[in-house]
Amino acid sequence: MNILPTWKELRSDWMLYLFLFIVTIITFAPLLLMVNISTKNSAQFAVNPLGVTFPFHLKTNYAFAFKLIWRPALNTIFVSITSVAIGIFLSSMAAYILAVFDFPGRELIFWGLTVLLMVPAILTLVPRYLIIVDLKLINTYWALILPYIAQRQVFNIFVFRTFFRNLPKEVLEAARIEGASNFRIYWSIVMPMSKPIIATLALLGLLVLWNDFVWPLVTLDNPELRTLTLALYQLASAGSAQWGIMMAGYVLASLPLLILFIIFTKPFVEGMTSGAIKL
Amino acid sequence: MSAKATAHSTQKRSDQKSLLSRIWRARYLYLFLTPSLAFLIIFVYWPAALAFYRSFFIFDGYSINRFVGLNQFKFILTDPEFHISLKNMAIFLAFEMTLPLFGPIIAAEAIYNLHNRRHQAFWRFMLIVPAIIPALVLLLVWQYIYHPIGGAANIILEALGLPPQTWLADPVLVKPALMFTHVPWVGGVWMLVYLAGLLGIPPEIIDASIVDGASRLRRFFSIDLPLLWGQIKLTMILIIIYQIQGFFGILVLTDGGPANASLVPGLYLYHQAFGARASEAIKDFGKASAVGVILFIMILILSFMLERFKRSDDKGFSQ
Repeated sequence: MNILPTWKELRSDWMLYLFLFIVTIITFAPLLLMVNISTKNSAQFAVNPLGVTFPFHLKTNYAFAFKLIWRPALNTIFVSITSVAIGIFLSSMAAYILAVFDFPGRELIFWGLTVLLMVPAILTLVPRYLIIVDLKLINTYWALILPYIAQRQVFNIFVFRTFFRNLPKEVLEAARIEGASNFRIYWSIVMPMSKPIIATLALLGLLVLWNDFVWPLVTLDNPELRTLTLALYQLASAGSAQWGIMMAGYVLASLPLLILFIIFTKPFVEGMTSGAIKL
Repeated sequence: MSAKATAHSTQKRSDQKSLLSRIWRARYLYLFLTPSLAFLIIFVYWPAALAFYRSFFIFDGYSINRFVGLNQFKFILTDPEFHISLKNMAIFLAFEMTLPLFGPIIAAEAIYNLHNRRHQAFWRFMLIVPAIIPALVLLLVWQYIYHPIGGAANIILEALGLPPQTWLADPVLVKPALMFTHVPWVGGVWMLVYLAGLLGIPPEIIDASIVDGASRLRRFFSIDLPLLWGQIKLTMILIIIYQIQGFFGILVLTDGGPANASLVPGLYLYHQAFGARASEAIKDFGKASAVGVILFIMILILSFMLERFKRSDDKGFSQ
């Protein structure tokens, strides 16, 4: 296959290829460093931290790191998938209603949503924490899941609404004439047509929640419940300087999203470029 | 006159009736909107309102809850630490408006201009992948790189025959070191947004420019840049909002240190509410709420200013 550029392409685009190559190398350097160090034991790290050293200590490092982060990883997977799934369901339903129907109060709701775009997360951080304390949800999964569902609503509703308005009207009209109920139209026609945008919003949501650090830091201190980011942070600040194990943990923490992304690259990019995420 | 009044009132009643019946007819719509709105009310509207309310109190979450009027604001606005955090924020923000703003545009242009379609997809993929690596993982790798003993940065300095540095513990180096954690600033998702913008330019415009003999550079400045202006302005607004309130990376790497050299307003707020790592400070959720209100007002003012700038700009375009 013609993976490499041809001479003709190189002659006209060599500057672009060179630029992209250099930028990619710099981007990947810290990641390669991470993978490289994750193969070293302490002795190898002490002698030669940057070069490649043999033999690889993959099994020891990765097994040890896995033992430290599997439980937090499951917590993060559970919390982020639950929040993203419920969040997308609720926001798509709301967006469908706001995009398709005319009813009293619609303008008011829409205005209220637009106002929320102006409310920064920093303003609500402390009162949100106090509400979680009042609801006695500190140190529960709910402390994460409930605010996470709310957190993505506005953005999702706006994107879904734009996307739904651009769907072909004839298809929805035809379904209505055949007597399909509104929920049926939403669930069996609109949602399947929205797969790319759902993939995009789900991945963006997972990315944000997977990365979240400050909110679990203030709402959880039960080691059973702590998320992946908290576990990695504690691993890093333990002060043991077991760099091989730490880096192995970082690699393991990066893999699930990476795999998910590689599987869903096509719908994700399709959704990003569909014009619904209007900027 | 009385007839007129009666007519008016019946008209009004029938209006009310029709409004009520319209509401009744839409009852299922409201039902399906409720869960979404309930989440927003409990976890966004209500806390936003509470933030303003709490900012007038000293409140430690337990026993102390005293109304102090505007004293919290007075304290914060005259607190030298808060001033330092604003100054640091301004420096970070100024930097964000240079390379990190234009890097993704340049990367998108480079990919867009490749003649080979399949290579476009390949490089696009390569530049998005780093955005998928958890931000905390990248920060912790940089924590290693800046580690004074055995860290990659000092090993490289040593190899070049230069003296080792303490990086994140150095009050002068800490800011550039933090900025450098996003090298080479071509940022995945934003690059995609710009690329989508470029791919949306009608091919006729490009063809016309080629026929007219415009060079790539000329095309970039005369066609691509003006057409991407909307995205660029939005990026600027989002960068400003993030720089005013963000503190996650700094919390992880330096906790504002050394000697407040990397303290930013968001972290200042966090310290008021949840304490600094170094010291066991007294929690004051009231003061933290007041900082939140101040940052909210700052964001509001800057957004409105940019919005006005945007509007006057649009007018210029249509003329």
